[in-house]
Amino acid sequence: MIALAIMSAFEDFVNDPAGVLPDDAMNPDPQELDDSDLDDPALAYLEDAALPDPDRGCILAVIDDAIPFAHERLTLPGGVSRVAAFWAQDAAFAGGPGLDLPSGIELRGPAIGQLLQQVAAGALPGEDAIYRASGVLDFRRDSTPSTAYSDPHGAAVALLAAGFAPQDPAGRDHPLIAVNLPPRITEDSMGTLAPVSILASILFIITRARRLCRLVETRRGLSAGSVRLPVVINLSFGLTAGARDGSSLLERFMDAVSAVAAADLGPVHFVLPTGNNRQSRLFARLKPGEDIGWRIQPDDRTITPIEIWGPVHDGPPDGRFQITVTPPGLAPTTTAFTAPWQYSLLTGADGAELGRAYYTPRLLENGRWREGATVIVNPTCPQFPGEPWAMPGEWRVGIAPGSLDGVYETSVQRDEVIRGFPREARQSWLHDPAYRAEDEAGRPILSDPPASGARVVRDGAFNTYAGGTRPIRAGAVEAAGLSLTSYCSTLGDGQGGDCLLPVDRSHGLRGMIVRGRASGGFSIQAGTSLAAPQFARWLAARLAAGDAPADRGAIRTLAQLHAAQPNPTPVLDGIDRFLPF
Amino acid sequence: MGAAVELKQEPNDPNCGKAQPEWTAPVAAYTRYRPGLSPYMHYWQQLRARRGQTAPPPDHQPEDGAKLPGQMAEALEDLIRRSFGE
Repeated sequence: MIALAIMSAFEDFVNDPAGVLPDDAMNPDPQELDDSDLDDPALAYLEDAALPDPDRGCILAVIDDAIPFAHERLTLPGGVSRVAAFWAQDAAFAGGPGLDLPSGIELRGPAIGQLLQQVAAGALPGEDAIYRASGVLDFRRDSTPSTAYSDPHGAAVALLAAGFAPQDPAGRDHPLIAVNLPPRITEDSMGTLAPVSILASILFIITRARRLCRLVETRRGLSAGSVRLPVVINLSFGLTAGARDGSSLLERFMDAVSAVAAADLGPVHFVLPTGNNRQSRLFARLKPGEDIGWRIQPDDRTITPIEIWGPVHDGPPDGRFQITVTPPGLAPTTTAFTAPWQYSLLTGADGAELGRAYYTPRLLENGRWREGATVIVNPTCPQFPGEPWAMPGEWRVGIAPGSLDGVYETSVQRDEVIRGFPREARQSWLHDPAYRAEDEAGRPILSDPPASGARVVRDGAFNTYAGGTRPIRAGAVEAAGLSLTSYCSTLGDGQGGDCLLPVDRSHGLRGMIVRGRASGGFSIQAGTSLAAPQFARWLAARLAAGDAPADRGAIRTLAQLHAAQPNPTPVLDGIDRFLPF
Repeated sequence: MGAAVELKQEPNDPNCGKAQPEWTAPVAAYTRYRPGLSPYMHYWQQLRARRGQTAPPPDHQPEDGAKLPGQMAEALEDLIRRSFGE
């Protein structure tokens, strides 16, 4: 019953209207899972030597890019893999155990162990060859080969969360379930195509975690449903535009998954980065009749979006909320939406398409409504001749007079080139003459000065995947003084997250040493993406030790008990980091 | 000598003389809520259709998407059931 769930829940994933998945990745004949994963050693999630203790285990899960499933720190002595299930969503479909999945291939612990044994025996020329032999890396395909990169994001994140020295006994109690998102998701400079792949990833993790619990019961002769391992899912991804109120499907799903007390699985916790855009001028608060400058760069081959989320109100949308857009050199023009999920094209004086707007009000869980709209400006340099484009310069976007009274949170979408991915993106930003980025000495101003009158604000510009009530938001401090890094977003209350962890070495030395794809490799990376997996690791250790915090507040209180600096936001330190040298 | 240029006082309206852009009449982007649906997805599908890479999304009437907000709760319940149900 689980199997086609993943398939049928994601009609758009399978139809793939955005072209995220290569054609050869699609599963042509999805099938139901059966119980053979409990009987057939080749389909088991882990070899017996790697099964976690049913009372002290906690599953770690990572959704990311280019996760190095063959890395030494994901093994036990003898080349036994701790990776229970690994789904490469965009790999060429080749059968195997993941027949229930809509695309790609699934690898489980015994199969990864066999590849490791082949390397040990000299049958494969090295660790690098495992990624090719498994089908996860294939240079012949039209896909960015991020798994071949020496220090991909997913290696740093997955190994911070779940990497243990093979001889460390704690590793066995922390099996890993991992999902490689398609490289086209990562190379999308806005990440806006990611939610459906992430939702599918969460379903995969939950189904495999439940089956792993059943495998432990079977191998140990325990009664069905008696093993309920907790799960900590790390999602070091995020966007900069959104409602930030937990109302998106992804946020509501994460909240709901964490709230469910499943009969055959322990609690599921999510950890996300707070975000890296406190100083990026991507967030403003407007009122009806107000607008803001929006600077769009030339030579941008990608679209430039902005989202506007208005006040919460009781009645259904009544057509009062409208957006006014002013392209550079042209007069302002106001939308005329009358019903949810309408869109209009913006055309210039010559009739050429410049962009578009969508009206996206949301019905909240409490039955109230929140106004929403997304404006998308065409690329300023079209990808191909003849495609619509728009002029760069200072655009203006505002709330039309007559819209419902209240504050309209206005967020520019992330639009940056991800390292290693060939997309010509240019980040736009909001321009407000009242906003000051630096003081007179040239130091960054880290918080919003009171009564500055600026519509652009720093506080509250956090990761828009992280607006739900249950996920933990992990922020970054610098290791030298445990103070918040200048880029770390804040949650609207001035705090850099629910918990903070060291990432930068100091305010002058950005980044931390993290592991690379190859065993023994390393690099220096920065960002709250690296705070989240450190916290996920810590939380998994606490859950494995028997702590059972019920919600975000309880987790935060638990962190304060173990913190190097408990207030105002707990700062955890000393979590399996590379020693500086 | 060149032609005489008549000097006029700058008008108070900063948009005076600027060309007027327009919005097309609004139409529904979708008629039914599904996971992954978004303005971005709609844009990409139209762009890919323009490039001949996929079928264009169907045309809809202006009010066809009015029920989408209420359908998100159903999609959420469906996902939860698929995650934890048997």
